Amino acid sequence: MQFTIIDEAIHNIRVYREKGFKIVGIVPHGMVPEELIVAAGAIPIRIALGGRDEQERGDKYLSSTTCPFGRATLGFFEEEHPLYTLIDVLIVGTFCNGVQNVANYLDYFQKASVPLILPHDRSNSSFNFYIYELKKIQAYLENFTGNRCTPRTFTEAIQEYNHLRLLLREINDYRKNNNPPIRGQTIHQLVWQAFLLGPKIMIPRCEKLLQQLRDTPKLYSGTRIFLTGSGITLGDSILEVIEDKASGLIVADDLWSSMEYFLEDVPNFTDPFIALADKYFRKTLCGRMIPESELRIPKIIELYHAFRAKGILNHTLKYCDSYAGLKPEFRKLMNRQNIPVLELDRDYAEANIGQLQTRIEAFLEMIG
Amino acid sequence: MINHQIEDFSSQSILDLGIKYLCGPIQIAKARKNGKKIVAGFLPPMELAFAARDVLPLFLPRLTEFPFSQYIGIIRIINQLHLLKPLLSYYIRNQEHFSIGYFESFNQNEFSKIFTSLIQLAEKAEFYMDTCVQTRICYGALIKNFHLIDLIVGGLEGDYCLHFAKFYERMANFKPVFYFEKPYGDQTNSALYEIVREELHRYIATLEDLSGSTITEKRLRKVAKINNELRGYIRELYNYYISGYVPVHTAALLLIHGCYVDFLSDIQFLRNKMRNLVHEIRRKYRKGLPNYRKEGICRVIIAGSPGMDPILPSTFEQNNAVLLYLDLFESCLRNPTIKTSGKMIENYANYLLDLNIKEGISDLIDLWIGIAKKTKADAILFSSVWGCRFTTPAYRKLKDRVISELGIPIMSLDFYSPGDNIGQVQTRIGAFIEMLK
Repeated sequence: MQFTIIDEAIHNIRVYREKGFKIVGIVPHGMVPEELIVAAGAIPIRIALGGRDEQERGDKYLSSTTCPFGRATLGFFEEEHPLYTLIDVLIVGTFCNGVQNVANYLDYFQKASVPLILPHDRSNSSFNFYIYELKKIQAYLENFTGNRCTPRTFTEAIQEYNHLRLLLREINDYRKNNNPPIRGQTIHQLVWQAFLLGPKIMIPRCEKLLQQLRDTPKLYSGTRIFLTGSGITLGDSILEVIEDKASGLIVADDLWSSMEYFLEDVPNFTDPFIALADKYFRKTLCGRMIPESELRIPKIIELYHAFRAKGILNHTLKYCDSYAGLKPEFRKLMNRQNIPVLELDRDYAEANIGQLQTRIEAFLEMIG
Repeated sequence: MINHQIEDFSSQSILDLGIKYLCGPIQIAKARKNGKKIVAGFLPPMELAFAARDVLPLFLPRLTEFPFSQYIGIIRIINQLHLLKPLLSYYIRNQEHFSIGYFESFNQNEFSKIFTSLIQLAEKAEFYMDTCVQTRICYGALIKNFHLIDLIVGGLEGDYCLHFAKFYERMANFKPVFYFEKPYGDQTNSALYEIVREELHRYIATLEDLSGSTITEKRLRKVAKINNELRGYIRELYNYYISGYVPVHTAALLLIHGCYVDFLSDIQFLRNKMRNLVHEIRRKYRKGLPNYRKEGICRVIIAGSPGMDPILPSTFEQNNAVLLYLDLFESCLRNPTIKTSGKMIENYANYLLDLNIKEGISDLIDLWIGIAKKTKADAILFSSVWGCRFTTPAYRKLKDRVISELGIPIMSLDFYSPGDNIGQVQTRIGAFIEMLK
């Protein structure tokens, strides 16, 4: 399935390029609005691939204490993965050190990039700074594509993405059911496709899936868990370990690779930049924002109860500072709410998968 | 004095700075007793605490109680009686009668031990150990001393190191934290200027709340003037290095860097001592400071994350080379003085933007390349601080640029904790310097 998504994305992007569209890559997280890229007449793709071999390749550039995702991303560039070679320019920036480190070496692969500088707090001046940065990206993209962003292109892009998000939320709501017809892997597959294929392909696909779900009997069972922490990349086997091997059922999460992508819409404001900043800055759930107690933690507790989870898996990629640094505090906070937490600290190496599975199984047995 | 760093400590100014640095616990305990408030963090803009009445800035590791701390009070009195310098000079002249390298090994081992104990404290407190030695030490120091701290100021480092940003968030569990937001960029970015100006207003208001008094323009101006003067002295010292001379060796350089982190909680003291030091060096220069290039002693610039094993300076010395840590000096050379006419908040905002990281690690790579070029360094040692997410991953990039632009050797040296793998470090440095020769 994952290879199908990538192959389909490569085919799709090649068609766009033949038509003269520019391809704008996003080193993914929840703070770059795809709508801005679309409004400038370019095609956004979130390059959310991760892999053990590529992580090792990335070691040539980055030290071993940088996040596996950053190292793997450089590994994909180095091996000239077709998806990565098709990108014309990347939006990078200061989301985290992983993203910064990727950006530092893009010139080794003759890739242009433009930084989106991100503050850490949600004050009004930081909000205005974010808007300033979006306008900087807009100017860059307009110059790069030769197209102008207009109120109409903004409105169309925002409406299209909001439509996709609405459908994804409707699909996702099935996870509230007992023995739901979908699970964590299903939602991740959809979001990964959305990252790479965009709303034009995904809206009809989601509509079709919704139709199917209405007629689908209850399917999945297992101990209901909430997944938080580092995003899960395409090619990573951790979801299969949790759901297929350890018999867990991921009913909700706050990951950039899953629910965070569609939980909030871009509001219908007159100024598109204020509207985009509202979703992508003010309401982002990313752990890199400070303090987490302001938004992320209450949202996790709200979703945990809404989706009737029985425990939390706090999944952190090694050296992912957005989530790994405050693990003990997170656990204590959740324990005070009587929410059990299992910490999973890992990279893309497969060697410790068996051990992870055992730990997950023990945790699920305890909370089940 | 050629390649003999202990001789730097026969300078009265260096001795005074060193003792003041080591007397941190005494200084802060006394300040607390006198009702002063303590603000922990780094400068800038922590130095603005000097503009608040009865508030002192403090770099947390300066609260470290060294194993010889019980003697520091006596040593301080001996120094105040102007007896320490002659005693040390006697030791230097008669080193052959003492155990070999006693002073140096005492320094290194004791510093290593105490920093290791702080790291252990951090680990016990479930600190995130997959990170750099600096934050592990700072966190240990906080755990040990948080009863002495009133406010923690941080944030500027958070823009280039997300771990640092989260580090402050974690500290907020213990004490009030002021997180100063300052994303990358320069004066051309009006939104950035607005953030910095607002953050300064918020910071001043926080300090006023803490001190219970108003921070006036006059006091801000006074702090800025002393700051400018201090940086002027550092620029002057740096000019000696650029001319091929070594006015102070690595241990004293490290001390100056350490003093600059919080201005020793006493900005006027630091200003006076730096002024004395510079005057002393001027006199020595007229008599003929050692020029290492002529003497054939290798001068190696240290780059990378600002942390190194305490054994490095003497390891270089033993190999007849000198390690130069000049980041602060280059920064002071590059950045203009703080304007002292007009509105001081705006002047400080511009100063902070001058100091700001513009693009990311490339700023620092440019800085190291610039230092190596200006000082005509023989080689670069890159301190690969384990767990550093910002500078350590840039080694490959720096190496490629050093080879293509400077054509001098560069070596990366891993550093996890003080005192780790001493034998291996000494062997590698020995081989590196042998190769240079």
